[in-house]
Amino acid sequence: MSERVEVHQNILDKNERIAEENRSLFEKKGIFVFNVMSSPGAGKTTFLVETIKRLKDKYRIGVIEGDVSSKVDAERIASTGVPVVQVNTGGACHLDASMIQKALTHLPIDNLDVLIIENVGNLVCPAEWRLGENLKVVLLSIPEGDDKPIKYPLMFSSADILLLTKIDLFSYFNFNIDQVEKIVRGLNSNIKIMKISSITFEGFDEWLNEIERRIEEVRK
Amino acid sequence: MVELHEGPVTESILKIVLEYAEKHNARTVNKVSVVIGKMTGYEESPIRFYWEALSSGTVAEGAELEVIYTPISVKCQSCGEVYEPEDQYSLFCPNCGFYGGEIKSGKELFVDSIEID
Repeated sequence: MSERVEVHQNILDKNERIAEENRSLFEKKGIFVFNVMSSPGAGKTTFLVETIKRLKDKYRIGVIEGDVSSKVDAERIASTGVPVVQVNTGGACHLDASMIQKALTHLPIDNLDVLIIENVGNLVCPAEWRLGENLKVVLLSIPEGDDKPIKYPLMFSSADILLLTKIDLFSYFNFNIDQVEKIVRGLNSNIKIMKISSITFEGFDEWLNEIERRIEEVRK
Repeated sequence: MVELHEGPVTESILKIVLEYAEKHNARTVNKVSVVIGKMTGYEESPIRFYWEALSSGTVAEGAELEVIYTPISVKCQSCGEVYEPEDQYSLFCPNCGFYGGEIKSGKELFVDSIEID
């Protein structure tokens, strides 16, 4: 006769526990952490290079660069002069909290104010894997189309900031910004939505003000 | 091969099952019940695929895997109607047509029970 054992354990529990360890380490060291997510090609790396250039004289920045394989992005980030660790997930479609924990051993965490995590390009998996970050930033580029929030609701429902990137291309695409804002706010009434371009730098000041405000809030 | 997002989740399910099996001195695991909210988007067929591959050679090899889906429940942000959309891609209120609102359930993701010998 088979014995039934009640388990009732959350499947992502282990990740949540490690994420909590990461979070408490960041808090102790006074590091502000933001996790940047999007589909491949939304412009995460270009956006981050331009962001880092504008923040690095004010804050000591480190970067964890997640990719399925290759170190192309890490090399682009390294060109800004800030310390960067490449994490190759070896096939996995997202970063998890234990990968962050390991990557931290390669960063000068006693001398950092801000840690930026560039997640694997994917709008599905990274949504559910908490890393211990203060803030989740999702990028959606104009050429990708305005249907993405309906197709990937979980990602947009868990983000703190949505950046509509490549806004300089807006006139070439049939992208309904009002509709996207309405849908995203339907999933997530607290989300902050901004439009930016990493080429013309439209919206960049607003983004930098917002992120600096959030950094200062945590470092207080 | 790039994994489907069910891969790591199935790995976590197996870890939890093996941990409980060991704690209860199980010789074999006959059945595993997991509860998955429809909002998470995890599909049954890849979970079964990974389950078979990953559990092979463990005490959970050959165990029946029961996947219980819980429906999505949304409270419309416009008119307050509580409705159960078919899946995570159809969060339009049947009453007023508005999109989205407070997700009241459908994000569950846990191992409910196991049956062991």
